[in-house]
Amino acid sequence: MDKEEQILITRLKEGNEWAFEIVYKKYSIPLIAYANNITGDNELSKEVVQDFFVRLWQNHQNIAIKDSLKAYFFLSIKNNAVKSINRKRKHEDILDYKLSESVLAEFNSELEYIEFSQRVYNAIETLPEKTKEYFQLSRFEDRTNKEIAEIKGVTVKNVEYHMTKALQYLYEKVVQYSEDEKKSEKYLGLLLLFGSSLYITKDSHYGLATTDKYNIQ
Amino acid sequence: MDWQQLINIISNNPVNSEKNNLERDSHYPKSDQLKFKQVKRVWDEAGNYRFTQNFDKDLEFNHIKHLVKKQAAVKLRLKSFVKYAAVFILGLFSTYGLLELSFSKDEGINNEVFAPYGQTSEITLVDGTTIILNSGSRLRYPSRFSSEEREVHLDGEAFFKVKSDKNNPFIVKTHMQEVKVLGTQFNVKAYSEDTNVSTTLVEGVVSIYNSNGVELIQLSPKEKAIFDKVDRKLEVVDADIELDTGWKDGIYFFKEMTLEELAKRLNRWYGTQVIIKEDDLKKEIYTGKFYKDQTIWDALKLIQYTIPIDYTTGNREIIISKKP
Repeated sequence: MDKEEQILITRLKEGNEWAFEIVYKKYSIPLIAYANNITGDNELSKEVVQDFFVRLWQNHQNIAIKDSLKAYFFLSIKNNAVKSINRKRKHEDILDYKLSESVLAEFNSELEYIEFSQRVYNAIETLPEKTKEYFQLSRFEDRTNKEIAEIKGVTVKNVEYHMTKALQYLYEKVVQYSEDEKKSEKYLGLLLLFGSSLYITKDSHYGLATTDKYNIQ
Repeated sequence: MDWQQLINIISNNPVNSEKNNLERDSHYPKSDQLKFKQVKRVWDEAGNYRFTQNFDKDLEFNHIKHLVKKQAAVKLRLKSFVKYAAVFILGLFSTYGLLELSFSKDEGINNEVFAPYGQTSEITLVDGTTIILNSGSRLRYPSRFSSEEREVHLDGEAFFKVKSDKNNPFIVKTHMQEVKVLGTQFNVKAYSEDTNVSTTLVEGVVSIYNSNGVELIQLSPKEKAIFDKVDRKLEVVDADIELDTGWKDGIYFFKEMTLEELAKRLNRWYGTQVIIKEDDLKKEIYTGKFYKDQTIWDALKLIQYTIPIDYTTGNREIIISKKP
């Protein structure tokens, strides 16, 4: 286990607020997205992740993480999401992780899927600003190109240009990148976990980024 | 196959004639079919991130913090309830108060502002009232006020300049009490993690109520009410306006403050994790003045002038210790 992660786990066990803030800001978004595969319901997924962190914090003395934070978080969310949807539909034990099975069939392992999902998000986040706006209107708000053109006061051709650019970019960042990687070696595990965490520490108010800003003499 | 066609099929945009399923269409070469599948997969996965459009990690985290602390407070009360049967009624009341607050949320409240650590934010409400939020504070307010009352919820510290309206009192609700005013300037400091809640009045009149709606006191200008959450006692003292409200102008005054309390403030403003090593050092008293554009390092140097301290940077923390 990484040394940084060990420190973090120790702090979590102590109930340190700062440690909880770090892990929440790092994992909340990928965890909610992951829960969405099981619940198919954004609001319910948000609740599942919120409840999980509240309970984790309340029972911080009992935290026992053997493998990695990441494995622990995703596994817990998976269980909780299945439970929550069972509760919601009142069909005890009937539904078991059905949605994800079809998704998972395309990947070698769950971990690989999680990496893929996080790469998709990172890619969306790094889209050029304008292109991102168009993409979000299309994908997140289900607008047609024609509607987007009206909202933005541009031609449909212009929207099509941005959407093409967006998909090309996502394809390059997510698919081609992962193919190159598979060819080179299978080091998907922890290395990538920290690779993908970079974007989160960047906008955090804590961490080394902040320390740099204050110019330690 | 060109990208334009691909995107139109995937995003369900109407295409002229052949918007049939590419996967089943044998006219296309195999490589295109694979590419189609992959792009479709990315597109589908992106849908899982729809919620990020209105997801603010700072706000959400603060909410979680609230839930944890609130439930911890209720637990604590229940514990002492068992221990001291004599204070049974009091315990019951305060538990009720806390629970009530957590359930009575969100009636028509739909705006929330959070001032992150190291920042302040200024808000102007529809009635013309201006509010300056101090670091690490959260304010909830309705986008429109009901006809009778103007009500906002605060966790943290804020300075209010309330637009006068004799018929519609302005109410600031915190986790421990309510402050009711007509038109005035005042400061409320009510961080849920602090041991007290304080209200400083600059001008006008304010009334302070407990969470059950009982009026506790009315303040006159330059008075400050401090409610001690541990002793559950309310005290009124003469206020030092500059000291209590300087933060809104980016000036931080400290008067006879313990180093422990000072470290807590620094953490709020700078978003740092300042830790004091020795227990007796925590109790050292400091008086001084910082400006907002100074860095944490400037602040630490200023402290060094009066208290002999050393500081080192740990993993993410700044550790203050006695000078050997």
